[in-house]
Amino acid sequence: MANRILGIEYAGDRIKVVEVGFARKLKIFNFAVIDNRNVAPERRTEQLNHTLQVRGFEAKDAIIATGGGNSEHRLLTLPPLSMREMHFVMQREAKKLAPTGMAEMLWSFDVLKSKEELGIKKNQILLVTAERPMIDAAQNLMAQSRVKLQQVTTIPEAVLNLLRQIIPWKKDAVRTLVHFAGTGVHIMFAQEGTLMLSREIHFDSAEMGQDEQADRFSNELRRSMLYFRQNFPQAQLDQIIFSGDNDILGSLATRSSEELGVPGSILRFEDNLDTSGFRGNWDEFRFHLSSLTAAIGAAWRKSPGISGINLLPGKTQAKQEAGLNPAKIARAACVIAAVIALVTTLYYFREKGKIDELRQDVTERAAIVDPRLQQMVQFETSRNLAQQRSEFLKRIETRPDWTELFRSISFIVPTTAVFEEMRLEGGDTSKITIRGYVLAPSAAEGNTDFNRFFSALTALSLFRSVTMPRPTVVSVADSGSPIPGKVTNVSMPASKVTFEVVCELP
Amino acid sequence: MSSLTKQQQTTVICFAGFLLLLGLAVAMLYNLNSSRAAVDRQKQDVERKEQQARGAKPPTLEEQRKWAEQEARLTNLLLPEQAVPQFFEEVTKIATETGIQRLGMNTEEISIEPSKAVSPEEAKVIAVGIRRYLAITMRFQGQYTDIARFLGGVAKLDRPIEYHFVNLKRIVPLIEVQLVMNVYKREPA
Repeated sequence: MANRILGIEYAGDRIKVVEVGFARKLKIFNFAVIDNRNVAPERRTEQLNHTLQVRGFEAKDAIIATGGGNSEHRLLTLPPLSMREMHFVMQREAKKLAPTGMAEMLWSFDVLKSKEELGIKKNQILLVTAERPMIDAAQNLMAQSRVKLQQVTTIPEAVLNLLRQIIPWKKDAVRTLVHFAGTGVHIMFAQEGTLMLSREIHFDSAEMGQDEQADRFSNELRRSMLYFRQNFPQAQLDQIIFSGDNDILGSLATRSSEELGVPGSILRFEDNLDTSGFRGNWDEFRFHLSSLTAAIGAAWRKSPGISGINLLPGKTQAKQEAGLNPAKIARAACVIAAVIALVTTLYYFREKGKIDELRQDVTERAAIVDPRLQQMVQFETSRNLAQQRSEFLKRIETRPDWTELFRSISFIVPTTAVFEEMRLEGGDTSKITIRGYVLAPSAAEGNTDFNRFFSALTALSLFRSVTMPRPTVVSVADSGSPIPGKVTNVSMPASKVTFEVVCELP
Repeated sequence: MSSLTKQQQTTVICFAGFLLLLGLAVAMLYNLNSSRAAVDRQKQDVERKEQQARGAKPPTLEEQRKWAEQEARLTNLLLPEQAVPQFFEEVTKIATETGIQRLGMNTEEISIEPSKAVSPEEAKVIAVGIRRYLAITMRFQGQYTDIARFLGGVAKLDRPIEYHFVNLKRIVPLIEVQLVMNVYKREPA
């Protein structure tokens, strides 16, 4: 339902309406051909609305292909331009294209395709100008309707839009398209789907016989082809395709080979349509299909209002703005940034609240734990102080019994030993260093005496350890050296065992 | 700005707005992250402190009583200023009684400055709150047994004495002794 659209060919006294939708093919839902010849122009809107209502049209949007007024089509080949430049150029070209005396002119353009000429990239642009009353008439037609007019294009553009979708295009071959719409006939020359030249000829066949019509039209067509060949001498005319609401289409198609030297055919495209949603008489539809060409071509757009020519005032500007331009990008970026900033702000305040809550909790916990920790540090300091005090007291109060210590040593000193020095050094580990010698008749005796003394010293419980920092030294004593404990007047050689013992106090 | 068209002005304003808003968003996120990191650090710090506080044992009453006793004992043990002459009398008396000869004595009062670098020994002393001590150097001569009795007698005095250095040298027929001892003093009240 949502993508249904009305395609309307509005050629003054005839209105052709199709209701289409987009699936894999163009889906046809409904159609109507309204003959306005006997209806006053001011009541044509009413008639259209009535038909739409009676025939059960459901679409809310419409595209009109209009004709019958002053309109011009020009194919321009331009290098790639920015939208701003393009607007400027198109405005200038439109002024040049508009016929002299045109009261008010509307214009629109469509960038058809890109191609390279001598290595330079160029765009083919179809520029269409139309006089304002022609577009106003189309707008007035839909003014009182519930259907919204999205786009107004020309009949040639609509026909060509259809042909682009349904027929294959041979490269370099030019096709002549002839479309009858009311009292006008549109003769178009197109190459690879691009409109090269378009002419609209008034052709009122009301009071003419079929042969006369065919003759007259053949002449018109020949003139148009000559005109085209003058303008495009390199072009090769390949085929003439006829469509529209005229009874002589078949005759013209037959005669074209003989009279114009170019094969002709009537446009057939029912195979390109999806009729699964069609309601109405299929045969009737097939009968009118050729005359519905422009209406179907007008509607066959994936982006109604944007793609193709749109002569509605202001829509060309809107179409321009639909493209990328810095202002639009900046505005979009600004909006996105505002959204991001808004989301970030909300997120910021939410998270900030959580963080503040956490900070308060942490501060409260710190306020509790800090004094406790400080107290603990004080306790620990006191504990350390007490420990040190205890060690100091122990050191001061547990002094060795020096009398007993000296007495014990005196008991174990051999008679041959002489202490030259006893040295006590206090501190953490107090130690007594005893330096002296043993004087004996022989080295063996001296060593024995020293060993006995050292063993006895080691056995004393007064010392934690007894060590010798250096080995004993045995030397021959002076002959005059007295041997303690021995009274003799005779000087005799003796062995001197010098020692140093370190006794560590507990 | 005035030389720009209205559309260009709009573009510039929109672009500036975009930058401003984006900058604002980035600043807010940055601020949020830094705040979060700071709070996380604070939280970790508090948790560490709480763990420390949980692990720490407050001293028991018994412990506190013991500390007080220790402190009192140390204070009582330290030599008060007024007892210094008496201490020297006691030392001299022991020397006389033990037959020590040629006793020479030199006394130096040393104050330990907590702020200045001190020896490990002094550090231990100052750690328990002692700031002053007497470094007494004595030289005397005597027999081995007399010296033993003197050293033993002085050490047995109920004073905070610590022998720092004792050197006995044989000088036939006697022994010459050099004694350096520390006597720790109480701080004046």
